[in-house]
Amino acid sequence: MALRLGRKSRFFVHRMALTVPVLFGVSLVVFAMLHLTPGDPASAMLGPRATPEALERLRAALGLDRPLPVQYVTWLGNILQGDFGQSIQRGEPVLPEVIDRLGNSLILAVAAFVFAALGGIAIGVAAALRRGTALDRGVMLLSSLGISTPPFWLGIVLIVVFSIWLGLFPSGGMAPITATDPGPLTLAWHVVLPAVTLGAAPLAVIARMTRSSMLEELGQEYVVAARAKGISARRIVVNHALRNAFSSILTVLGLQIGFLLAAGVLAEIVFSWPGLGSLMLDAILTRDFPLTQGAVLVVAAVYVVANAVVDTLYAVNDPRVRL
Amino acid sequence: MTPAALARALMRNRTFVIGAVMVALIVAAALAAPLIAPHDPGQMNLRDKLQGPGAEYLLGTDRFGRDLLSRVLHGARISLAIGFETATAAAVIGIALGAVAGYYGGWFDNLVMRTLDVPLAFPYILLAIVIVATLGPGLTNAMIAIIVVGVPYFARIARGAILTVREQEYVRAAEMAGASDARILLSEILPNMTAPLIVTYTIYIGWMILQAASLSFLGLGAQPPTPEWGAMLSESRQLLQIAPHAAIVPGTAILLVVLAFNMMGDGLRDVLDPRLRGAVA
Amino acid sequence: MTGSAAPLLDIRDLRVRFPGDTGPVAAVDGIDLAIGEGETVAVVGESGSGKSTLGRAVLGLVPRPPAAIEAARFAYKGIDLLGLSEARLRRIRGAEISMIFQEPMVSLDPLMTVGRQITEALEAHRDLRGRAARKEAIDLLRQVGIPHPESRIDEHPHAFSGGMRQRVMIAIAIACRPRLLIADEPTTALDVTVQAQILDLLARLNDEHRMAIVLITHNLGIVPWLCERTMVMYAGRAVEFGATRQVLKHPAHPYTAGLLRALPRPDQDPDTPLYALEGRPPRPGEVLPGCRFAPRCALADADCLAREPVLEATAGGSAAACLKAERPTDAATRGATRGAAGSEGSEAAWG
Repeated sequence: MALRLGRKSRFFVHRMALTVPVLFGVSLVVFAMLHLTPGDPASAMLGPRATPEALERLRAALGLDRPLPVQYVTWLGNILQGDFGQSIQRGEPVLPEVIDRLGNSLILAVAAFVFAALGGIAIGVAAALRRGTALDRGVMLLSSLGISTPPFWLGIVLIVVFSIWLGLFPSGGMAPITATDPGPLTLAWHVVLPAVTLGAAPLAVIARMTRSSMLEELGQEYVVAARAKGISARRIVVNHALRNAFSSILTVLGLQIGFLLAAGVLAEIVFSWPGLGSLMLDAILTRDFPLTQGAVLVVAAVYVVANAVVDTLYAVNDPRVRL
Repeated sequence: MTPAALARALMRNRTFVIGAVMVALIVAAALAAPLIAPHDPGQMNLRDKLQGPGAEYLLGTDRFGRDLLSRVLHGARISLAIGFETATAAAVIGIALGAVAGYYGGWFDNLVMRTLDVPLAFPYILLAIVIVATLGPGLTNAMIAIIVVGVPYFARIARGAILTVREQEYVRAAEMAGASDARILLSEILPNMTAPLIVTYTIYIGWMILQAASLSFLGLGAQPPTPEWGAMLSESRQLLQIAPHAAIVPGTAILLVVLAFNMMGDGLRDVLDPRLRGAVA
Repeated sequence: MTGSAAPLLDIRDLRVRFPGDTGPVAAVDGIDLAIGEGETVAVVGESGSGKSTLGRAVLGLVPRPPAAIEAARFAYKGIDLLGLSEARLRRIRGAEISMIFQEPMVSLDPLMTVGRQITEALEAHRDLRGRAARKEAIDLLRQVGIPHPESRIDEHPHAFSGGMRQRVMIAIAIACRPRLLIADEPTTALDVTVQAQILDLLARLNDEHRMAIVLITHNLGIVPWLCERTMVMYAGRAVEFGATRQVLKHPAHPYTAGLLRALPRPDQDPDTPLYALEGRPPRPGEVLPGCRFAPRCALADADCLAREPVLEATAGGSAAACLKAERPTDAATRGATRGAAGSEGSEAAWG
């Protein structure tokens, strides 16, 4: 190979290659979705009062009268060229709208992820270090609650308490990232409640995992050996135990990405956040098939690629994993 | 473990006891709903709309003046039915597919398990949303969607259990004694995978209720005026400003049911099979 | 010999108790041990004899609670170790007293390069950082006999063999030039040739740096390689203590004799089964009347079940806690007892 890649890059390229068949499968499911639907896009577009002739003409125009495999290949070919079709309701190309909304969703997902990861790891470590104390039991109880809490319920409670009663945060909407007055702070202010809502369950899961893997690592012989070296307790906890626990924590962090993308729909609806999830829901409820397909396809693609990135990080984190 | 020892171990597990008591109370309330509900859950009374909790309406009323307590009690019947029915359907289909695939192995196993991998490629509730998008909104379609999402988990557990049990002496012995495949599956193998399946089933009832409520909240599942908790929440969402209790009451009901089944499942897992800790989401 | 100076480590009547189902269990039950500069002592016993707990207690690595530690004296260079704060203890660990462990496979952090694991100790105690620390780490790896230290320093532990990992552990342990090294079964996980190399390395370090060594082992056979004195432990107590040569040549305690018989000898026919001591040591918390070894002892009689023996001088020269041991008859008694139990005996006693 002319191009010399490092071990890590090679692993990543290899892992990315594995996403191709998965994405192919996803595209099949999404395509099938359109054709299993009662009624077809033509009748959805023209409404119930359309004449059979008009329907026939539109079907021909959309290529719906051709054999399914031909339609699939055409559709996939267009998608690969970036043509996701036109939204039925809005009459505009699907892709730019989807990309625009994806950006907003990612802002929310990243904020929720940072909240969940930092909070969960900190809480999990604290609980592990004070195993069996009231703090530890409290953390475990709260994490049980967190895992069982419906995101939309938590969102509503947060709105009632922090927005309606205390007036600290807006109850919904989003300031664009480009806002200049009073600047990115407005965005941060808007993202707090949705991010906490979306991040609560992942935080609980991460805290539990961190606690149990920290307990396991703190019982390992190398921790005793590190103590025998006379280095500080903070170093032992952070640089040794947490560093080793991080392999298992990373797996759980990776698993949260799917939740953040999908449950994001719920948080977006509660907080009127203009993300991909709320766009998808609009599209479904208005039977806007091209828009639904585009949104689902993009979410699934983001999910699959994010998993590949997590796997790579996992391999990079642990020198024992053969790359 | 003998049944008596099992019962003692369960009674000593605080998580299980709290969860089981909550589940029992909720089930009892749901069964008795027509008797104990103070009002007709569908009865509108616009004069009394959006009242806060009080003597006449213990948990207040919604925007049509319907009694929230009565609606939540009747909603429990709906949600529990959804939970039991979908979890049971997913378990039966999943166990059958997984057991047969694991028992026969080979290309059939490959075909089934690879097909079941596809749903797992979609995160969390997204697949359910996609299925409802295909079939159209409604409670039945929402239930079909969450069953499809649940099947692969049960199939995997059943298949895993089969693969470990298959090679063991007593199964070999039964095979040599000339027992039929179906007989071996039912009498020798099934009893040996009950522990993980009971744990998963219990947790899934709560999980299915949450999924169904989520879909209804999004407008994809049960539709108003059905007193389904997710639909009730969705209806009251616009009125948070003036009547937060109308949204918080059904939401809390969902939280408590899910928590109850989760705690019961966690406790069962600790007692039945400590190795499973962390294996079931 | 230190002569008049206080011993490096001075332990008297050390007891370490852990909470058990039926009350506290003494893992170490009244041990005396004094070690001077540059001395080498072996602590020998089966697993569960309390020897590892003794080693860990010296570094303050036995967690309190749950454990409770008492001693009439528990001092390093005259400083009471039991009264030290965790922060003060940390300044002794790794700097003054170091430890190496049984399993080099699990005693190194698998995710950190060996170089970093060495420089960590250098940073903590010698304030060496950056390039200076790295240079010192390479030098340490060379001292412990690791080939190509310049390149191996950046590798992770999984790239090293068992013997090489134990060398890395030793490099970490000696990084801050400690005065006392506690080696807890340092060769148990290694094969025989590697065992000999590691013991040679420890002997060399003892020789070159006058670093005192406590070798904790279950294997009496490796003791003469390294240690001038030997203490044999059974069920939390010392049953025999004396010059290694005497303990091995004239074991005064039946337990020591049993351990010796269980050793494979080079001239032995490989087909004859090895002798194995019958029975098992008492379970933790099991309280036996009289001598703790009596149930396994061929010499035991009613007397042995009636009272518990203490370490006393024997005719062979070491001290033994056995009622059946042959006692010395002449004036040499005093010297031998003190030489064995304390550290101030005459040179001749364990030459």
